[in-house]
Amino acid sequence: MTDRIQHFLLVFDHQAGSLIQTREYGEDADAAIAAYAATEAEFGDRKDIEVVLIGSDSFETVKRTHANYFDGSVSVSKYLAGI
Amino acid sequence: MSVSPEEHERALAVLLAHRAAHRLPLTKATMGLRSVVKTEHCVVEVSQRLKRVPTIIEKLTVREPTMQLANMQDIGGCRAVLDSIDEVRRVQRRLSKNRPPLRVSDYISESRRSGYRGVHVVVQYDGRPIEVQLRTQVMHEWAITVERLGGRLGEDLKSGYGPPEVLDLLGGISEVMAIEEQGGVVPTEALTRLSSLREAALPFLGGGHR
Repeated sequence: MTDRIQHFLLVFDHQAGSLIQTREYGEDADAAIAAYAATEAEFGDRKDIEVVLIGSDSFETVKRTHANYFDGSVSVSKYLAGI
Repeated sequence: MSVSPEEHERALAVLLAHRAAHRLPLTKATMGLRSVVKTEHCVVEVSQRLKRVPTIIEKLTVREPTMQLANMQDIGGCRAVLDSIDEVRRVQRRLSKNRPPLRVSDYISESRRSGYRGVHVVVQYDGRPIEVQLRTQVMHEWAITVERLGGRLGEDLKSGYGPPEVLDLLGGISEVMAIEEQGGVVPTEALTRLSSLREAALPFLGGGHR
C-alpha cells in the first residue's frame, strides 16, 4: 500500500506557548519515525517540551486536527475565551 | 526498584521498536478512516499520530501501572474532526460495519469526568490495535484548549489531574457546550455557576490565554 501520509515532526515549548521546530518528512515514514525517537531523546526529561509526530494529507489539516500546537487556526467557543 | 542504565536502554529499544511496528497498521487505519469520512460526505480532516515515549512510560508506570506495553491500544491513533454529532454517529456506524471494533468508548453519551467528549473506536489492522477518535468541532475546541492549558500548567488535565478549581471550570464549560451543541438552551443557573467557577479558577490558569 502506498503511504500517502505526509509526516510532520513538531517540537512545542509549553512555557513559551509556541512551536520551536517544525520538520517535514513527506512520505518517508521511516525517516520521520527515526527522527521522532532521536528528537525525543534529545529533549529527554524536559516536561515543558513536547515532541510529536503527526501524519496527514497536508500541514493545513494538521493545523486543524492538532490546533493546540498552533495559534488562531480554529474558532474558539466564547466559553473557552481567555483560558 | 532500581534499573541499570543498560536495562533502561534495552527497555527503551523495545518500546521504540514496538511503537515503530504500529506505523503501517496506523497508516491503513488512517486511510480507512479518510475513506469512510469521504463516503459519508463529510469534510475530511483526518490526522494520525504515534504516541509519545514520555506518555507511554507515564501510562505504564503512573496512570495504569498494571498495564503492559503489549496491551496498550492507543500507541497508534488517528482522529477525525467532524461537523456534528450526526456525522460522528454515521462515521462510527460505517467504521464498525467495515471492521468489528475491539472496543468502543462513547464519551458523547457519557463524558469523561474531566468533561472530555468524543467517541473512541479501537480497530485492529495487521493484528495491531489502533485507536480512532471521532470528535465534532465543538468537542475538539474544548479538547485542544484543555491540552494546551494542561501543557502550560504541566498537568494532565484531560485525565483529571490538576487544580480542582481548573478541573471544575473545564467540566462546567464542557457541560454547557454539550447542551448548546445538542440544540438545548443553557439554564441561567448554569451560566451563573460557570461565572463563579471561572472566578475561582482564574488564579490557577497560569497567565491566561497566550
